[in-house]
Amino acid sequence: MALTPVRWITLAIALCGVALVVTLREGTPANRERNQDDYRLRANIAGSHLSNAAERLRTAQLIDSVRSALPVGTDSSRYIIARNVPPVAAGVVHDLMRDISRGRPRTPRVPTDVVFIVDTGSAVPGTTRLWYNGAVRTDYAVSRDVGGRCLVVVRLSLRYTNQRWLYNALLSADARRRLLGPCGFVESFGLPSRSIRTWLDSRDWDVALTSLATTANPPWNPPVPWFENTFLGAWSMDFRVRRATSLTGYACAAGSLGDCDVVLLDGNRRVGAREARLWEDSLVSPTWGLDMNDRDYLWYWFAPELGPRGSTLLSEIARSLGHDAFQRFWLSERSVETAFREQAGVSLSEWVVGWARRMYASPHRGPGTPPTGMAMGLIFAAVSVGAALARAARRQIS
Amino acid sequence: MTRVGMLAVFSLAASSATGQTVSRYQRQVDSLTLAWRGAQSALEANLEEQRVTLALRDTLAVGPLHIMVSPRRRALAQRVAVGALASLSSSYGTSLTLLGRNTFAVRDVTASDGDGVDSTYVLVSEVVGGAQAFRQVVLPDSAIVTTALRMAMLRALARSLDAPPRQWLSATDLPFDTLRAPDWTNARLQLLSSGAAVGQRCYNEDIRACRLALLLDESADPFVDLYDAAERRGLVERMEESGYHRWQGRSPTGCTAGDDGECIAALRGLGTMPHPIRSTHRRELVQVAMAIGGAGAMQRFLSTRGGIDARIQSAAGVPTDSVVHAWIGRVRGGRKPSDDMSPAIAGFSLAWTLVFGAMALRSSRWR
Repeated sequence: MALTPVRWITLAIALCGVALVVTLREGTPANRERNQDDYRLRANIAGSHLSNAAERLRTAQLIDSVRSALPVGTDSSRYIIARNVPPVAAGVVHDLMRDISRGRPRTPRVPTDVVFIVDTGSAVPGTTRLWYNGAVRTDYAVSRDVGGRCLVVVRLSLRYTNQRWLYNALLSADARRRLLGPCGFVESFGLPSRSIRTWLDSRDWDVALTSLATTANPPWNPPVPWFENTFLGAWSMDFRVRRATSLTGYACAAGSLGDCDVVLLDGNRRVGAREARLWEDSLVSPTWGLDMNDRDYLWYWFAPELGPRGSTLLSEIARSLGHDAFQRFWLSERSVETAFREQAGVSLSEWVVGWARRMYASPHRGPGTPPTGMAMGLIFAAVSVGAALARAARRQIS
Repeated sequence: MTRVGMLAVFSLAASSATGQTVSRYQRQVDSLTLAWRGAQSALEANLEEQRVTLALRDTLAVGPLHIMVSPRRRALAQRVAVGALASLSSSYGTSLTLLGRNTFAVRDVTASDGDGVDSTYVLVSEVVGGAQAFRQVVLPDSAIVTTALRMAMLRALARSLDAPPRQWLSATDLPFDTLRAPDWTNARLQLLSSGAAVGQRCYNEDIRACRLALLLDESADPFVDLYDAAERRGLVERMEESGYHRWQGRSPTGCTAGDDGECIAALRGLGTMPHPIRSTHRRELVQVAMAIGGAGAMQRFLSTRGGIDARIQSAAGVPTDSVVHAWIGRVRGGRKPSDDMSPAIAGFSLAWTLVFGAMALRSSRWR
């Protein structure tokens, strides 16, 4: 029986129908024994709100208390170690501050106080204060007033102060880069213009959490979690980046300028995990402690829009533009996009695409076929078509 | 930058805070505490109702096992205890009588699922002095509960070992069965990627190296015997990245520049040593001894007094070196061919090509 066009089309439609039935068929949802959910949900939600409010109260009390106890301000930056910090930790802190002093200005535009304390606070009755998101927490009070100071409060968890890894974490390159956070920028470049501040406020200062950038931030290359490392193959870098970014963030990293515009400039956007929270107008609290950043498998389940290196964006801009050009950008009253283009000569989105290529090993857009697979496919297709053509050329038309 | 000495400020009492913000958050916390307490009381009252039903208990004796059971799980507990004992008796033999000193529990429990929904499961645990030494919450399915109970039993048996063999095993439980082919593939990959030269030497069937790597023999100078110069430098560099030596007040810069003597000195100063190969390989060795020794192998492993060498020899019934030799043979045999292209993939590709080619040849001219 010859395969006439009508038969071809009928066959194709029939096979598509089979494929649709197979792929769209849904299993029967399993019945589960349900009880108490309303009670537990209510208690969990109330506990979560209480825990968040208690943590903010503690931070606000701490900042208030530190400010009232600090000696009268000078024009220089300072660091202060509370008496409850153990001597061994104090030694590490001196080392750390000596290390980062190399990248800081001699005459700060906004003097910065870095205060180290041991957090002895206990949980609100009935809730647990796990510190699961870090044993070295930082909070930043970024002044809005000319003549003000920037305050960095570094809290060491009491529970871990005798742990060696805590101090190793404090001396790691990542901690050195992140310690000053947003205060590093205002210390070097002064208070940002209203336009830049509005932009940063709208995104909770998430791109400004890494400030000290005397050397380039390294590209992201995390290990694949052991529980995903099977003989079917380790995850490709592309797939890891997909997992660690939002959809739009990934498209931006893969070169889509329109998506970069959305990620970078849409002030009302709240997509992806949040690296930090801005609250009470001037307090920036990062989600993760200094010891948690870039460690282990955080990226596996925590995906901010621009991925794990999103917090280095502004420091990389500062490093690549150079001090003077970045300062002009920082103080410009024009829109972020215009101010950036004036200094860099390219749009912010174009620059971010280049940055993402460096940080995330040039991710690819859309589903892809490896070159060898594509070559094999083309060869098979060419052989098949060639054979069909050769056969067809010899056919007699009856 | 100025350093302002030690500051005695941080008695963080609420009374020291004066800001408006602090007062506002204090009011929020007070009001949320009331709401949370109310929700918690309602939840606890509801849970108490459940507990009254779940707390009913009975005692069940199966062979050497004493099991506390919920009345409605008695039949399930009986069934799984018989199954668990049967699955272990061939290898563990009379050692299972040691379990007569332990108390296990198989009972109902209500647990909260991830989405805040509570469901009834079965709790399998071992009760030691009123506390739970092992606790696993599983679905009320015979096979799953049997696995959990067997794990509890193997943990209890592991605790009956003296400290040295227990530490050598680095495991909280004893093996249940010998390894399957995919496990050996995994073992091969882990040994080859151990990051210690001794692992590679062992893979090349150097039995002395295997004994060192498996911690059957103690090394007089582990960082020299187990690692080569490049690995030692790598270890020191990794410690440098984490700031370890700077914290210690000395930075072995000579080591990173290539001075192996300084690397060795820096590593010796650690006072501890990372294990050259994974502890799972030691467990594999015991599983090979189980396979060679056949019936009663783990019974002999547990009852033999002395070091780990003597226990493995007794379990297998052959010298430990023969067991090590068999182990490395299995590891080497775990090679898995690449599945980038297999005969099946090639066959399917060709078959599809032929199908489409044949269909193209059957096709009429489209005019």
